[in-house]
Amino acid sequence: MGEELNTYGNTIENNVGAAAIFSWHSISFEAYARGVYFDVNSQDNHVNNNNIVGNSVYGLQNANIATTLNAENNYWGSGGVGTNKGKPGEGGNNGVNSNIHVDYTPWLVPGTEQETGTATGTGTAKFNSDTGAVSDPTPIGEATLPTAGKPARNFPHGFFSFYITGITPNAIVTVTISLPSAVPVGTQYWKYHASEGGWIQIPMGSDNGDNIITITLVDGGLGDDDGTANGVILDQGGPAPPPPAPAPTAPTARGVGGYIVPVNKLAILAPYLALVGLVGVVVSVVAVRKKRKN
Amino acid sequence: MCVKTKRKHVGTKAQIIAMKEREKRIATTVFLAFILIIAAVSGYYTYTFLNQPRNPASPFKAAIVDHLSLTFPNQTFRETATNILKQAGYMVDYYPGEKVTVDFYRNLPACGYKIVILRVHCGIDPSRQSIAFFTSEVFRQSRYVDELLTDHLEWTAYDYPPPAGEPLYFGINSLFVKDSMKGRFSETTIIMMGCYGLEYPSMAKAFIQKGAKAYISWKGSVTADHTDKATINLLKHLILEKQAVGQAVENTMREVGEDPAYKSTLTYYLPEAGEQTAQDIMRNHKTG
Repeated sequence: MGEELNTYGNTIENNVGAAAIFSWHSISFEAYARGVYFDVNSQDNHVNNNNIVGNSVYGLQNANIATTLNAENNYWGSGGVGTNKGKPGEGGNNGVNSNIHVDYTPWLVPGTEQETGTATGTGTAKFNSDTGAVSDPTPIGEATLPTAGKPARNFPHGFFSFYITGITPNAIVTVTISLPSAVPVGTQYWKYHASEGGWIQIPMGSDNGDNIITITLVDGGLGDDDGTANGVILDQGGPAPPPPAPAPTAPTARGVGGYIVPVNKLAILAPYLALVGLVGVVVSVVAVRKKRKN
Repeated sequence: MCVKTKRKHVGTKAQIIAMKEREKRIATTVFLAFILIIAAVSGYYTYTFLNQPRNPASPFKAAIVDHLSLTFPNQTFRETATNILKQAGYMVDYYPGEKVTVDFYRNLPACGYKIVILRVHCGIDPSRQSIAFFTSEVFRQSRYVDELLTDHLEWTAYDYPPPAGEPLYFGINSLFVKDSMKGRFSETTIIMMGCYGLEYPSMAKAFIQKGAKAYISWKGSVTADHTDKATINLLKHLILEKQAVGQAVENTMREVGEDPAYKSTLTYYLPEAGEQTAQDIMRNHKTG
């Protein structure tokens, strides 16, 4: 899982009883016409959560007509309309050699919200992305993750993993997460990312105190567990609200200190300056009147 | 024509006489005004001289200046501190918050106290590395104008910026201690119980320059409960057990620890003051 597929054409042969599982790869090999070819003896194979695009003949071909290849939750392209949107073979999407021997339902449709229950039992969380398609959201218990370096925060909804497919390599994706309940302003999104050195914080966008938050992930960069710019992002993280504010300090605990406030010297002098001004005016008036008299 | 000339002549003479009389009157008025001014000035200085606080003859006087009684009253502290001082033979004067005014501070050195316990709020301005002791005098436009303009007095407030409607209080700073306080301390030990007393050395230096022997206070902010507790322990060590200032401060810190909320510590100024004991204080007073 998560490894780059470096072979071309990807023909899998004679793997009776040994399941070949391809997940979360880009399968896009225009020059060889087929994304992956499974020969007549292959069986128990799984091809899930992949970008299967740009293959002119078939995205997947299963030559073993005695079996059905599990190819659920793949992204085949954005072609097709209505209920056929994103379906293999529709509107220029990659197709399969047989809709009987390749099980591609459900397929990923860009902009379709995906949901899962939370690991803590707080309810259902929903995921969507501004580009590509979210797939396979899965709850992850906090206890399964390393504790070293973990932030001292609570994760009321536990953690989630999910995939984003149907994106261009190096794409920056905004994921919208609808949580079962509102989280306060100041919530952070944390994930354990071994190759990044452990626990890291993922940049958040929406953090306005409601139940909807947004995070930003980069294919092959921050937040992508496969670490490869391959058009697929695997993320695993969770929202952590800020720690509760400390209880108001009791009056007796207040320090016996205060502050020096800058003295506004002009304000202090103002009445005196006004008096001097007034005297000046009076003297001037008297002088003028005397002059006129003379 | 002749008549005219005569009249003119008579008129000129009369004018000259009148002018002379007028000049005499003016001279008399000026002279009287001068005498009056001299008398007023002499009277003022005589009054000031006669009313100047003097060192009372009685030895072993201590003062508890309880400005905090306005906001954090603690009768137990007052009674306990007074008892400790009295046990050691001190006469104790207690000043509640309302009495802690600018003029109170102004006259404090001349009162002859050997120990002054300042249970007072203290304001801080980190940008100027300056502190100021609160008085209970609310700022008024016409009061202490010269000392405000020459930076001998400050405006102090409990919060910053001061909330609308909250009064500003006059506060005394180190310049006030140096220049505006009258008389000199009698090798007094100053125990400044409020916050920030030794955050910067300027205030301690000013007291020492003004004749104080030692200045003990907190580096940082401190809570009322903690400073009350610490001061009682300090007084026991210093006054009853006759420990040196340094030893008393050290033992006090060991017993009460740093402030639980602000982590401040009790310390003293100057280092050599750490060797001084309560007996020294009394002895100095007797010989001095």
